[in-house]
Amino acid sequence: MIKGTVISVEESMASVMTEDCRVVRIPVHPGIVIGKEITMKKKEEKTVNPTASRKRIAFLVAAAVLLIVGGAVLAQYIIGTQTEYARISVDVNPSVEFTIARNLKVLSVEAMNEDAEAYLEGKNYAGMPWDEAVEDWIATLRAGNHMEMNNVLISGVFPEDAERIREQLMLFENQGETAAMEGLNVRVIYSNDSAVKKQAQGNELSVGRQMLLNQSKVQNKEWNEQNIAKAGLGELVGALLGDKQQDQTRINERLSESSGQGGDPTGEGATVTNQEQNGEPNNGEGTAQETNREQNRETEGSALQSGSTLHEGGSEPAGSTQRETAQNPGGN
Amino acid sequence: MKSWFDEPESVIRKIQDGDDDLRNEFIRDGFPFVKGVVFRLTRDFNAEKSDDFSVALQAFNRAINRFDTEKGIPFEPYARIIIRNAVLNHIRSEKRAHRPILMTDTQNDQGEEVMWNMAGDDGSEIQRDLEFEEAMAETESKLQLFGLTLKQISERIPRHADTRRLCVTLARLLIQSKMDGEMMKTKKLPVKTLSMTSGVPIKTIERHRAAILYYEAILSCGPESVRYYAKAFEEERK
Repeated sequence: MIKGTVISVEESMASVMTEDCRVVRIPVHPGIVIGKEITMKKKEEKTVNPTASRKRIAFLVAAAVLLIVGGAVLAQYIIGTQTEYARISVDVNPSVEFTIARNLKVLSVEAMNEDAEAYLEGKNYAGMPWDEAVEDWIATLRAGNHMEMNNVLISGVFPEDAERIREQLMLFENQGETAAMEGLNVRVIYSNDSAVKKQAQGNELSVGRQMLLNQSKVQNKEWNEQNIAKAGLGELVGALLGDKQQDQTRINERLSESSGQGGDPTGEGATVTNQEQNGEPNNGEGTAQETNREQNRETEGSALQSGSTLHEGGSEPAGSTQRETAQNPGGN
Repeated sequence: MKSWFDEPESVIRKIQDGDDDLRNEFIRDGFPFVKGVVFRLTRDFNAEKSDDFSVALQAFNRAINRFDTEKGIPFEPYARIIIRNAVLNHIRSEKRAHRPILMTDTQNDQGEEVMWNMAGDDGSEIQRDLEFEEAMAETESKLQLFGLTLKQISERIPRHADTRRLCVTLARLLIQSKMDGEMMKTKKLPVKTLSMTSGVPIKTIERHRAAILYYEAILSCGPESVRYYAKAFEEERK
């Protein structure tokens, strides 16, 4: 606490000489006159008024809480709208891959081949609900209709708890009667294993084709990283996917298990996996090759006999899709 | 014809000796000056017809009565300060200048909290200390001779207490060694002489010129209570 005497009063400011011989300026107050002694507290000597202090603390706490809540909401919004949550690929022949945000809207779309690039030109799917974007994409392809597009593979990689996406994805398989999907053979597969995305990126494949490649490896089929990109979709689906094998999550695990066991996908581990997938009991007899052959025959046979959605695709020669593509760069 | 403020000191001496005619004439001649001071404070073009002008004339008359012709201080700034104080006080007493008290009003320019519930502030009418005002008017007038105002002083006073103490000591030395007379004539701080007398380097004296002049003015013609501050502060370390 320091004393001072008012030595001058001007219109808005007064000068005070303190007892330690400083001259300080203070705002003029109605009660102030020249010659009046006043006391001042030095900054460091300020005593704290407990009520004011409590109010200030309460205010600061409230402000901090608001800030945190606001920050969390903002972060949630950013995470929900700006970060990748799922990836959906649509393979027809022009293949595209949609990156989906947590709010189930499209963040970006990537063409997986030149045909798709041509079709995507002028399209902006960003911000659109992903299922609408997929429908629009398919409608665009059908409107252009240069290819005999019957087989469509819609594949998704998303977290296990993404129930909504899974449900929406499943609906596509049963949407044969809707205008966009009418007459199409739509197959849906998905995986909750995010490693699929990395594998697909490494192999420059859509996530759908990557899942098929994984199947090919597990089943010891002839498709590998090099040839699967150009293989006919119908043929691939027919050969590699059985009925109702939508969830492909375990394939990767099985693949790594089998390669871990002997480093050879054609070994016994692969055989077991293939049998499991086809619902066949493992009686412990026969070699891996035998099992694979059986499976191949069985798949082809069932596809041919059942007249299922894979019939046409399954009977297509491997090169057919390539030819179609060549004929249909982007129009008639 | 000489105007009233060309050499007012000799006229004021005669007035103080009892020449009332001269007083009336002097005050009449001083009307434009008084009006100018009032106008600066009130911005009222009809200042001559206002109460403020009457208050200002009374203050002008008081300045004539109280002015010490021996101190070598010019009358004009002295009278201006006396009139300013009186008019501002009148304005505030009429509550014309009242404004809401802001949070910032509780702090001085150096961030210290000012306690308004000071001793004697019991809501009664504010009692002016005219002697204090007159002494401060002399101090301010003296500072104005050297081109200094209290606002400038507040900005130039050394922050370090020991430096301020040194400045007070130098100011006292100026008075004790009669250097202040020469200083008033030349209107310059006798830096060299002061340096030789005190042993303080010339640069230090020059750097703290404003503070030394302020303390000198306070010690030579400032109010008693403020002089006491300086004395007590100077002796604090001894």
